[in-house]
Amino acid sequence: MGRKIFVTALVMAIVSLCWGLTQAQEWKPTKPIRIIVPWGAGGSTDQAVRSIVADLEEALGQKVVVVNQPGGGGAIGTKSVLDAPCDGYTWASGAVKDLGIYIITGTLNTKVQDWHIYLNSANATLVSVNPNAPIKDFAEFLDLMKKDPKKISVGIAGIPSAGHSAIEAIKRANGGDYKLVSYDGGAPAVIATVAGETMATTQLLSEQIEMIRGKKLRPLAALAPDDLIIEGFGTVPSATRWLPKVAADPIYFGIWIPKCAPKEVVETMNRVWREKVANSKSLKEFARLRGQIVAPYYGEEAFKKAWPTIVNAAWGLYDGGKAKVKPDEVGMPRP
Amino acid sequence: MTGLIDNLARFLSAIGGFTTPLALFHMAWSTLLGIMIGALPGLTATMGIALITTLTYKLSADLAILVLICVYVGAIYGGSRTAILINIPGTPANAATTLDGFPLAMQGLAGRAMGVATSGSVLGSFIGMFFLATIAPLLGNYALKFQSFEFFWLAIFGIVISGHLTALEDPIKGWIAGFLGLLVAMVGQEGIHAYERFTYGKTELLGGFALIPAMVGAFGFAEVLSVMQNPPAEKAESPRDSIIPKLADVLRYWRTIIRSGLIGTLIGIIPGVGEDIGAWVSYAAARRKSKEREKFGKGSIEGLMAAETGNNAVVPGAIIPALTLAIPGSAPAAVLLAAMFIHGLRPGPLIMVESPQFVYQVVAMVFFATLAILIYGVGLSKLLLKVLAIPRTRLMPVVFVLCAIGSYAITNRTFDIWVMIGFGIIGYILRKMKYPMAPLVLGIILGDLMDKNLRRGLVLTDGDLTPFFTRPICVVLWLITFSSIILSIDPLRHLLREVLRLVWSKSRGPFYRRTA
Amino acid sequence: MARADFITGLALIFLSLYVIIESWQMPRLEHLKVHPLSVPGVVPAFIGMVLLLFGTVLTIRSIRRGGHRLRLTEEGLRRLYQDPGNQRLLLTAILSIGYAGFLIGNLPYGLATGLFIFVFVLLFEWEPGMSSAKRRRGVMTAALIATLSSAAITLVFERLFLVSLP
Repeated sequence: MGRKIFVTALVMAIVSLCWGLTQAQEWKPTKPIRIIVPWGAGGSTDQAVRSIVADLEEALGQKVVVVNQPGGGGAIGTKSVLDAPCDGYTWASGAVKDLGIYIITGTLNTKVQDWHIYLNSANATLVSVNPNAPIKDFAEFLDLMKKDPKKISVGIAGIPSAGHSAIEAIKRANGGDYKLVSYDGGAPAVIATVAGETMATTQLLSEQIEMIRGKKLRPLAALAPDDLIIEGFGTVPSATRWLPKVAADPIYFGIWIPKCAPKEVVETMNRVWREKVANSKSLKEFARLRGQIVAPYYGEEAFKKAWPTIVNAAWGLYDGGKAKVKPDEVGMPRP
Repeated sequence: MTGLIDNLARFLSAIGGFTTPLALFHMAWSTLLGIMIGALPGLTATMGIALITTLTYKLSADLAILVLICVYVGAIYGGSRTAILINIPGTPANAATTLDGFPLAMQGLAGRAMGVATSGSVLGSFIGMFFLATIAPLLGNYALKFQSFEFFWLAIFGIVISGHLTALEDPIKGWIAGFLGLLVAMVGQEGIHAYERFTYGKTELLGGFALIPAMVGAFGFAEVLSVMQNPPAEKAESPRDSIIPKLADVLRYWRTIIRSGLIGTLIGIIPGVGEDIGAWVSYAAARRKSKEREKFGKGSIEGLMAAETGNNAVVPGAIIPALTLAIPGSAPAAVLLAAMFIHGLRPGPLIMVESPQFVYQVVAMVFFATLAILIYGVGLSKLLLKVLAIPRTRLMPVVFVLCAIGSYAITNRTFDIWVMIGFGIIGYILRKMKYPMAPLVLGIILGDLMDKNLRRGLVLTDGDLTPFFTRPICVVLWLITFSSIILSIDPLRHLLREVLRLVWSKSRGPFYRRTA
Repeated sequence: MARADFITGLALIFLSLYVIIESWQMPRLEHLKVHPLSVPGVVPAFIGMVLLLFGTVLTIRSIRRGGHRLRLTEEGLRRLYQDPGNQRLLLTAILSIGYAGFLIGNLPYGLATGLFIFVFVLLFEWEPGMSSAKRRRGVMTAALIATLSSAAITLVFERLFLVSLP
């Protein structure tokens, strides 16, 4: 914790120093800003972005329009941001993990280093089963993965997705196998487990939370460093209790601005993030209801948070045979 | 009984809560905006709700949701205006409306047609709302009955009935159009292993052809081309009828209305299929039961009524599982659900326990939105009828401009304008050869559903096909699908009749003698 | 119609064969140990086969009705081209594609739209023997319609629907 504060202070000091040196003017947008959400309206990325739009509008004094451009695992929307004029009026968004692995899946030639990243929330993934599943706890789940993997059908939102990274991380730490069943998104994957079509799901907490509160899903373990407290339910043990080495990073969501954007845009956004988003009431309330963690990070700090999740996801894809580029060829050594 | 009275009291108090001048003001503008969005080809209910969500952050939660529901109901209704007047469905939900709505307009009955569509939409909404208010939690669980196997059959079923109904003289052309639509939907990254099918390395094609530009092209641009090709004399007769919805139409077709309302509500509850399927299934059922079947497709009041009742009943139907399970029943309902989350509301399995009042507030919102479309429906029709008086040389360029910008508006990609043009040209050619456009568009919607659910089902059962044929809902769906195919192919029907007669006479003839 | 059906039937057969071959060549992803029935080619191949069946039925039916005798003559093609309906169709297609495909994006949106509507209305309402007064009125009307609708559409989409116009 102390280190986090130190890093924050350092970053702030550097930023304010730069501020003073360059004497950048304040950016006053003169036309509406577009945030491209590369997933469908109503999904978890969409919700995460929309939860801060009101604050951004207030801080920038300009309309902020959310445009949904789904398809290609996020590649289509992100590409259209790259194709748009780099004037700071078109932003991308999504899960930072996805932004980092387009280069691995070969869908888009962009790296996370090409963007200024502004994180707003983080979301843990959870292993949950249908309440009638013949499994008592996570230990039995892991056991069954080794003994009879055909029995473990896991509903996820496709490849790549938070759920896929999670179950692949568990598989890497535990061994064994599972039956992968892809759905159109996190919500349908969760619903399929509720309906009993699949036995388990490893999607995001925000997608499961109402079902868990309503006792229609039984959470076994959370892929988070510590036990997870869910308001209106209780505590979910951390997966690290059983698998000390499992990659248990949350999924970070946020918005991205291409590095080529004018300097004053970036500086204004840094300030907005520091002053406005970090203290956003609507973001806090949204996070509380949807079981998320407020994560208002930007700059170097955001990158430090994001990088391990990207590397893990990249190697997960590589080991699963879904990578076109070997991660260490693009500067991601095996963790 | 006390439960019922409690609920009625909750509903009435919710109604009372929205009779403030502020709430009425919001209802007025948002429903009108919804109707506009619906009527403009290319702008859909889903896009409208997503857009308005952004504009209503600052409103209080109940007013914001009120606005969104008004936009939703208004958009699904508004699409019927364009469908009737210029033969272009304003949203995919109104494709079935063109079948009888436009012929009626050509016969000089545009006013009556709009009246019928208005009364159908209003009554459909009310029927759906009734179920939302009375047995929402019970019905919500029905959404969970639809799993991969059922969705596969639902997709095939949708293609077959819409192919049949839009090409009654020659159903094979309807089916060809439907399967071509399914094929179009195969383009792009597939949803299970993320393999790129038929993309030829183009990033633009990763997501496949977007539905809206394809629809706007196949209906809109193709219509512009055909209208301009026709000799100048052919023009809709100037309307000579009343625009006020007729009570007689409602009384005469009350069975159709109730049946379509029920079908629409049930289809609405099924996650992932929405207003379009609701309209088609209602239309098909109405034709099957109709006494004046031969009029369908040539200007049947009953058919128009069924389609418009069916699609609007889907709206409250789709809200049912969204409220009680946090599972949206349609694409617009998914955005509505997200907006509820953003405003700090918590729909889901616990809603009846934690905040039953909210469910009744939503019922009241649907109620007011429905009243608003009735008022606008009556009030605006006279103005809209003037569209028919505009010479085509002036109307068509504007329609085409709207097609172009409508294709572009949703995702802001110029690529989508080219998609619109391409589908317009292909659509025009297919149309000249008597291929209907509606199954093509429905195929694009359902292709993804069919693809993923078939393969997912096969993964789940390890390649075993039996659940596809033995699960109860599957049995109903495939029986209707196959019987519809067999009965509409003449040689097969004769063959079937012969076989039946043979079996019949055999079982009677020798069999009887032997036992005697 | 039988002749058209013959051609579409053949086109469908070719299209579906292409789709089936293409589906067959899609990866089977054996190294991922995925289920053999979940590979990407299954559903396109299925659709291809159904279309092949339909295409064959259509072709056979059209041959029975004499559709394979195409009887393409120069005379027929010329008549097709000289038909006023087809000429209007061609003009509409050229104008529309020119506008949507090339003008949009290269000119400011409002200007491109106004220009398209103006030219469209003018060309289609132009009659050879018009008096000059009538001509002038025609130009005025077209300009008025073009300005008003272009301004209205630009305004509604930019201000109300917040679309950033091309």
